[in-house]
Amino acid sequence: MNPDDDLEALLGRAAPAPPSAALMARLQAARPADMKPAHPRILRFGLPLAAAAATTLAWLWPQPPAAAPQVADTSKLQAVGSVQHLMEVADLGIVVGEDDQPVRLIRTRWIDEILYAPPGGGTPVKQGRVREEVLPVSLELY
Amino acid sequence: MEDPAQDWNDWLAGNAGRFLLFARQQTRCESDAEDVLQDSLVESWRRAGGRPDAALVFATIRRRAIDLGRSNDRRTVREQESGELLCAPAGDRETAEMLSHELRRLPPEQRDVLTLKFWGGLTFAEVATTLEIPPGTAASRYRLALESLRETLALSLP
Repeated sequence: MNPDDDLEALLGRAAPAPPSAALMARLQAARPADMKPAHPRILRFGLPLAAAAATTLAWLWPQPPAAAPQVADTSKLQAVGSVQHLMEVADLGIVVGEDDQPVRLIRTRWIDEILYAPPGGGTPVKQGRVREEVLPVSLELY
Repeated sequence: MEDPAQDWNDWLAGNAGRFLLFARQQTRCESDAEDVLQDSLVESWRRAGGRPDAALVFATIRRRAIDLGRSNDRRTVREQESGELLCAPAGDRETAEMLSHELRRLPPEQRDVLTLKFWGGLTFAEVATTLEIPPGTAASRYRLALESLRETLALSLP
């Protein structure tokens, strides 16, 4: 027999005082947002690698293509291909996302070359567009 | 699948009391205890991705209370300001008040161990991890706490 049984039995006659109704309401309202990955796993791990690889590629690219002359009206042309050239990657800093988790924002700048087939056949026409994307990248917390 | 809001509310209903008791013992006043409690519950839930282990919550409460920079000197003031620590589910209010009083009289290091072990439901290993002390120290502090209570509660024991 435990020599402290009598004392523990006495302690067991009391319980922690419950929170007040106001505090319980406050705690219930503080419920964390539903747990879900902040971003798809591919963004979490793949994007930094892709950005690094693309940056390297951009540095090694022999002649970064300039924007091609504007095509008069591409709406009537058939797009037959495209090539994307990553021109710049910039770290915009860290912000707090909707789920209160830190997110690094990376801005990427691309030149998209789109190839159009003329209606009557012949050599495809190129059109260049500058495109910017701001991508959120999750940070691992330790 | 269980409603996440209901799951949170159910968890609070079943556990908030024991976490609040420990938060009260770790902080200077009731408002600090409530702030630390809320932040710790939310942080623990997020870390665990759902219902966290009690040991994680207690450890988080302790860490956040330390972060608030509460000193031992201010604990005396705080304890006088705090409300009743314990209640009596079976209606034995006099016993609950007496135990609350005696609990406050214990040295903080003994009281923390007693609270975590008895009302917190932790094992000695979990108590030791939470308080960052050796398991043997946790066990000896629990023993000292019981001995101290036995002396002061002698008349109430059968």
